[in-house]
Amino acid sequence: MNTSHCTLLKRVSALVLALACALTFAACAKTEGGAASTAAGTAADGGETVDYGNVTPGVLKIGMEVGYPPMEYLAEDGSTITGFDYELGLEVGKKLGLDVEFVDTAWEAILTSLDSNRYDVVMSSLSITAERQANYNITKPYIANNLVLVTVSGSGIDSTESLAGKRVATQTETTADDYMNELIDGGLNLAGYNVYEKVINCFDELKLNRIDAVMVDKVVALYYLANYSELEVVWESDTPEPLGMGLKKGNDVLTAAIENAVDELYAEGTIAAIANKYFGSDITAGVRK
Amino acid sequence: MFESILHGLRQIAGWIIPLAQAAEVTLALSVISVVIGIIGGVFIALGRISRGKILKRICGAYIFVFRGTPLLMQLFFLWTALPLAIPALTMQNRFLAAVIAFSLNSAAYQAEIIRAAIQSIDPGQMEAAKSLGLTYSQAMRLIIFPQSIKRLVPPIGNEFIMVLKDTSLVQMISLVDLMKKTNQIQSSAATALVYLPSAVMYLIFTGVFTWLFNRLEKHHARYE
Repeated sequence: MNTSHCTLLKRVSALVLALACALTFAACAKTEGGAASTAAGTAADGGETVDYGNVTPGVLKIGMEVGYPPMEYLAEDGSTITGFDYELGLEVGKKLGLDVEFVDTAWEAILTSLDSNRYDVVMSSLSITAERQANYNITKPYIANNLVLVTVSGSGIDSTESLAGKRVATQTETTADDYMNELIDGGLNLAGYNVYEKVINCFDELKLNRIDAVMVDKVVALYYLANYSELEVVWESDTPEPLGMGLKKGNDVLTAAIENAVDELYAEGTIAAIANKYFGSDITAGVRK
Repeated sequence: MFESILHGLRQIAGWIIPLAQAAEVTLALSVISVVIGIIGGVFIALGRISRGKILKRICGAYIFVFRGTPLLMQLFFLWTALPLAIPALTMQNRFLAAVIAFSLNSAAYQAEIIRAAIQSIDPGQMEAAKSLGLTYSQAMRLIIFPQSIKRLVPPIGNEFIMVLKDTSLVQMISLVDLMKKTNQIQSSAATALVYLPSAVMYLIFTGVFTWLFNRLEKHHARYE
């Protein structure tokens, strides 16, 4: 009895060990595959790479919060990054002659991670604000955007004033969150105000009738509207809130190089093509001045 | 130097009330969930050591599922996935949803603590009780349980402290606890100094409860 028990234990241990080895091996193999895919961004001419003072020499590391469709999100397989910012990032990398690596980051830490050198640039639907410009190098706008209110059709909400007594959700630490806080400080009385880590949570809550409206970037609202027919945009802010890229304060060489690259891509029509692919129209027209 | 310390202290003083309000959620959620978890845990433990084969299986499966999946997943499942699939199960009260998820999870862990404590009591105690004419439930209530309490207290104290810290997960369903409030203050005040009073608050809570559980353990040591 005791010996058979012992053998069983040995067999199980061996199995666990074998499984662990297999997993480690699979993980290693995957890393190699990943490295190969980043090489796609290398300059076509294969010439010398220029040193822009990147976090990792020769690589343009791009920080983004993957989970903000259609700007940056995972394709349906759940592992491939796609989206407007993703494709633009690859094009910028090509222009600069750098490999491109995308770093998925929690939204709350997206700018502070620039300071801790986790990546070179944030391309993650970053709205240009005075506060962000004061603390980071923010590029010129590359896509038009403003805040909108999304509700279930027929909600009766048609302005920020009519939000009184209603329940509103936003993604935490976004300009939508800031704007709602301004309204609340200005005397708007909500029945509830909830912030979430991911923008999808806001739309789930809307569908579950736990909230009445979502304040969100227009670029994202359009995507969800296309997927959920019961939702509608009921209000749009007057002030445009275009998106830019963020770099560490004082990282001027790379900032200038990226500005140049985006200007060229804009003039060539590459950006318009990407915009048409994701939004069905060129919402970047006239934004780059 | 002196000026900046003074400024820091003044900032901290201003944060105490909002932090304390958020800490109410943290404390209430942990206390309620652990208490419900103990009650649920007793029944699941008794089911696990019962003679009934089906009951034993069901209780074993419960523990397997709730210990074997992340608490965050259980919380999301209850709050978002379940109501999206079955709209009738949509809850509106975030705190209630958190209490349910944490209690269900804690019950699984505490069932194992309680089962181990009961089974650690010498089987001779049960035999002696039965030979005196006590029924199974009488023997459990009057003989076995009182003796196992002393052995229960330290691991349950441990479980309580784990739950207290795990409550920071509730920010995922937009409930503002001590951790979320700390993050919010950090971003609005643009300083990480807020971690100091927040950490002190957590330490006060765990300190007070550690002391309470030590007292409880000593109190129940009299059965030895």
